[in-house]
Amino acid sequence: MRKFAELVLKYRIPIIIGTIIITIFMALQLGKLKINSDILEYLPQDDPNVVLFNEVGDKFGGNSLAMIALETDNVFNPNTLNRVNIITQKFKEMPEISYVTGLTDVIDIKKMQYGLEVGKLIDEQNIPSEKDELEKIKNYTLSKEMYRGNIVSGDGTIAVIIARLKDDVDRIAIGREMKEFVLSTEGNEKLYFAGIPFQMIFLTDVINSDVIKLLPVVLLLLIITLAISFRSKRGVILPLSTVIISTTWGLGLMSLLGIKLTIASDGMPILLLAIGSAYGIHLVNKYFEDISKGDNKIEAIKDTISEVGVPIFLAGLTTSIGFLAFLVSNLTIIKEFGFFTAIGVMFAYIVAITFLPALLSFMPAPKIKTKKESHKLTSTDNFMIGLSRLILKRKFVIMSIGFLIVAIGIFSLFKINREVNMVDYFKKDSEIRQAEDMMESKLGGSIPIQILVKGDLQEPAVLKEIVKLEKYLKNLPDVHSPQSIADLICEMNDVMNDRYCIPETREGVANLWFFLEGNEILPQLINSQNNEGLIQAKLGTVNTKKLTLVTDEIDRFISENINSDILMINLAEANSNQKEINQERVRNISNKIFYDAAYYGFEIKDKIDLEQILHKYLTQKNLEIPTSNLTTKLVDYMKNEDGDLLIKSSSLQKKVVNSLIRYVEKNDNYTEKGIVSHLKKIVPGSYYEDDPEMLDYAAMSIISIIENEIKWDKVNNLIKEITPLFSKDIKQNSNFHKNLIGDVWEINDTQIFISNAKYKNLNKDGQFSPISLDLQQTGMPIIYKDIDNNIVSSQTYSLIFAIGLVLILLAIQFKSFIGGLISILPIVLTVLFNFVIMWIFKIPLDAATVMIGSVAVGIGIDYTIHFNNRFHFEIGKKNSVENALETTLRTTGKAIIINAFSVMLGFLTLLLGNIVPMQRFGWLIALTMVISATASITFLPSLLLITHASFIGDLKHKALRQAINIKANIKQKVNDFKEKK
Amino acid sequence: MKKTAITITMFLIVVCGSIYAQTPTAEDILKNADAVVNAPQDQEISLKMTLTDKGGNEKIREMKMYQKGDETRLVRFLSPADQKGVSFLSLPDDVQYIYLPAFNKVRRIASHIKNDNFAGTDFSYDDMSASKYAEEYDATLLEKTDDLYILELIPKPGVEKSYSKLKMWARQDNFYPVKVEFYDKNSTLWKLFESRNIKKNGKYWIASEAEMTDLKKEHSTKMIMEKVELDKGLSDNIFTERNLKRVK
Repeated sequence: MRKFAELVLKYRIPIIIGTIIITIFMALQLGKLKINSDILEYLPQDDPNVVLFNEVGDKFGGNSLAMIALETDNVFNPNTLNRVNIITQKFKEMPEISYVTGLTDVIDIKKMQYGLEVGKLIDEQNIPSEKDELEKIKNYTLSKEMYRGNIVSGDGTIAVIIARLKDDVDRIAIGREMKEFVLSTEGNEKLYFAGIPFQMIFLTDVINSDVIKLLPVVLLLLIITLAISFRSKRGVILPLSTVIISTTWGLGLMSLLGIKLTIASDGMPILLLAIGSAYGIHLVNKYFEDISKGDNKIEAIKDTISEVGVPIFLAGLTTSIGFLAFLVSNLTIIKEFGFFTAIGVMFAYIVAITFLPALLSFMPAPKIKTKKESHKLTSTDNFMIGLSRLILKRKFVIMSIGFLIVAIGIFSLFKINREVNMVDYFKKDSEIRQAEDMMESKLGGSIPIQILVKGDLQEPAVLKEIVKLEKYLKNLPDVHSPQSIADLICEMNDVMNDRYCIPETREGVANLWFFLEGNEILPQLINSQNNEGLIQAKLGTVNTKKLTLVTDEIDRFISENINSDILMINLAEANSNQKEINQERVRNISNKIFYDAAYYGFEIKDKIDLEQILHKYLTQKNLEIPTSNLTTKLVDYMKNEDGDLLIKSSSLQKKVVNSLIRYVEKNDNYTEKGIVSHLKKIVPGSYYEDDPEMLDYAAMSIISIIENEIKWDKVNNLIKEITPLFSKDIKQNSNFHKNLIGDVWEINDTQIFISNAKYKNLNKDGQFSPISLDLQQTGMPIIYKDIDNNIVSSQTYSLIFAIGLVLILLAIQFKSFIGGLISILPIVLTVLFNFVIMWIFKIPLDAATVMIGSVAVGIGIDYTIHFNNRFHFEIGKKNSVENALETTLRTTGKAIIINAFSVMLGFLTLLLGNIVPMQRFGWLIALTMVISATASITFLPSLLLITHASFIGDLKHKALRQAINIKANIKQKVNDFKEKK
Repeated sequence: MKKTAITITMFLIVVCGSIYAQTPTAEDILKNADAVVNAPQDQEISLKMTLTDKGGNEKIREMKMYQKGDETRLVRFLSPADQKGVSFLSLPDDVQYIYLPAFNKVRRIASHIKNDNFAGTDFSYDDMSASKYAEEYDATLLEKTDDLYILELIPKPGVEKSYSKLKMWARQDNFYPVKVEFYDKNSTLWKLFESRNIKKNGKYWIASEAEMTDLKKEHSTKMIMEKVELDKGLSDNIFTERNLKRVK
């Protein structure tokens, strides 16, 4: 080390110039340091969940939803609607935005008196201004589940514009542009900005302002601490420049390598300043000590480097190990943070041992005022003496307390909450938090749940499974408004045929699909080949525990209840399994009814009764012709001017209709041909002679009318029969009634869908090709869950890794494994105590707090090393154990406490920041420092005394000799006593 | 009557134009362009539509179209199989009906959604309706090349369009518009329409291929007229609700 010192002095000029050049270069890089607030980038990009998430984003126009909410008494007023329209139009023009949905631009499928309309809810070119019209639109919009709670709050006070940002755009820049535009529009509505892009903007700004705000505070604190300790200019300037240089290097290197500052690493500058200053302090301190001993300047520098160079190196190395342990993490941001902080620490060491002495060599030797040797004991000394006595007396109690904490700590490990949601990073009163809280309470949240569907989306079997899943999703806690192509098909079917369900046949689906074709909503729901689709819902919670529960529940439902290999079969062909299949169908229909009833708040009094009624209708063989309804329908048909068969004479109408009904009642298997020849018998030839095809078309229409009426009759009767089973009148809620009809309509199906695997016997020859369906959950909740899992594993592995490495290091240093083990215990206690605090104060494990454990190991280990070294030295001096302990505590113990407090102050500045996890990190790690220091001056000596740790010195023999002495003493006294007697 | 008048005007302009080699006014060019496209009395066309998305995936639709005048039209889809028979009837005054064979039902549909695309194509309902540029746009002549007029069309005051302007290339010899560019409200090119294979069919000019490209969506619709029959004297009975259902 002395040689190294000579080298440093020899090359002091190149060292100074080199350091300055590097520092200027690195400082120039700082300007390019970017902030990364993208939560997705926390995870490795080859993580399967990330891959799927990106795939979905790529296929369906992007993953990031930006939401603008406008709040006023009633959003259905011309001003607000115009403002919504202006914003929507502007967003639509932005090439970075793939889709925009809002009140003035959303698909509307409407039933009208004479037909239907697939258009826009509110025509952007014709925004209503009349009060009545507005009121009508308000009522209509709020009655539709597609809109209520999605683009408008249930009470009509908040309108939301949802913009989907393309995947490869700079979301922060676009978000800012959007925000700026929205703020520039006129209106009195209160504005909210929610969703990932705005969260990212906020986070970036906060990280920026935190770094700018906190750095001066930390520097000031450092200057004050240094000024008080050294009371000299160079005592302040040298360590300060060391940390400023090394921190600049660390951050500059990050910038140079294109690593961005994140929620985890934004505390890095503060951390480096707090930790890195120690090395400069030690060096300057030692230099002053050597000078005061009478060394000349150059000799003092050489002595300083050679004497403290190695210990500081060891301290730096162990601290770096604590940070390097994060390399085992899967989370990119934590890995980066660990790596660059470790590098920064090593930079601090290098600068302290080269640049600092080189600079020092150019400064005149300080005049050291020889301190008046004072034999007066300070209060700290008194405290330490008292402490040493206490330890000697109560070592078992202290040890027990220590182990008790360890035990509670282990218990608390299982009780700690976890939090990964970005929203949780912000203070409760922050703008973004308020926006997200409002979205959560009034609009079901801003976090999209996504389920990727792979299968033929024009296949009724596939759509029906989607409907089943969506009905289930609606009932999950915190899950809101699931939407997919299936809803639009159901909606179309309701408008066209008055039943909110998936049509039985592929043609039916394709026919309804026709209306949707080319609509802007489609590319958000399905791909262009119609073989992949998306089910989207919103999650109204930011709580990681709830979020994990929901995602797990969805996965469970998919694997247990969704048929992935579907056989479509005609009911008549499944004769051999009819009983089983019917039971399955009953279960299927009743489950849908249960989900709907639960969702709309209807209780079912007797579920078994319901199933029995369903079963009865499913197995009903002979269908009665609903004569009176059918008569009305057929008469209407013949009255229709544009119909196939117009019969004006009412007597002829009646005659034809009655005869037709009699005909179908008699002939169960009526056919088109049969009807045509029957019509020929009763309809006078003059009606169809000019148009020979007329009766064919008429027969087609008549059959369709008859079949439709029979089906409706069945459904209506069934509904009538099950109505009393519900707690409330089902007509009270039109949405429930609509869904109920859709659920029940399925009893009419003759094409049925069953599991191919379960009914292998029906497809022995492979005559039916099964329909495949694959559902995969993705979306932010899964990403959050993934991050959460990774945080937990990061915590576990980085801690094990850090403790393991430090244990090895200590064992080598003390040349004793037991020694290493004993020395590590105070650190283990510190780490576990931290978990106890987290448990008691309900502080969640997140991307920042996860780092405390390993940081505590890295920094805390220094205290143990210092304590052991001094104690070893004192014992070696043939002192008594009592004396050795007292001296150690009065010297090193005091230093440990002072160091812990100054580092603590540095960390406490994080409390002034605006990022909640960083605040928590700040005070927790500050507390950890105190605990670590306390443990190393109480728990550690108690352990050493009790175990008579041989690596420290001849503790046991000292004690033994003492004991022998005492024993001898007693024996002597006893003997004396006997002799006297 | 109106039609005949326009045809005569057009004829006169063409003749006069060639005699005096004088450039007609922009308004006249536009009127003639409308007239030449709308010239046939009735049309029966077998169409093949190819929709191409940005991934290069193609969807093919075949249909038969009957048109009488410029506002009465019946379209029947022949393929894809599960949409076979789906039929549209458009009558004057924005009256539209649709027939869905899967449900054997005719429904009237509202059509104020002019900006929406027709059945997954790149043509909006508005683009699909008869060529009436002269009624809705003010034209200025930008340039005259060897054989083309280049016009700029701006919507007339009070006419709501989703386009801010159009640029039209019309042939000098017969006024047939060969290319139209549609610009959005930001004045960026949004859609591009091209007519190809413009040939004389009887006394009318007909483009047997047309393509509309949506540059924003990177989606295009190509129409190929496989069979075109003009002035067959189509009966009014074709354009009825009753006939709409008659798909076999």
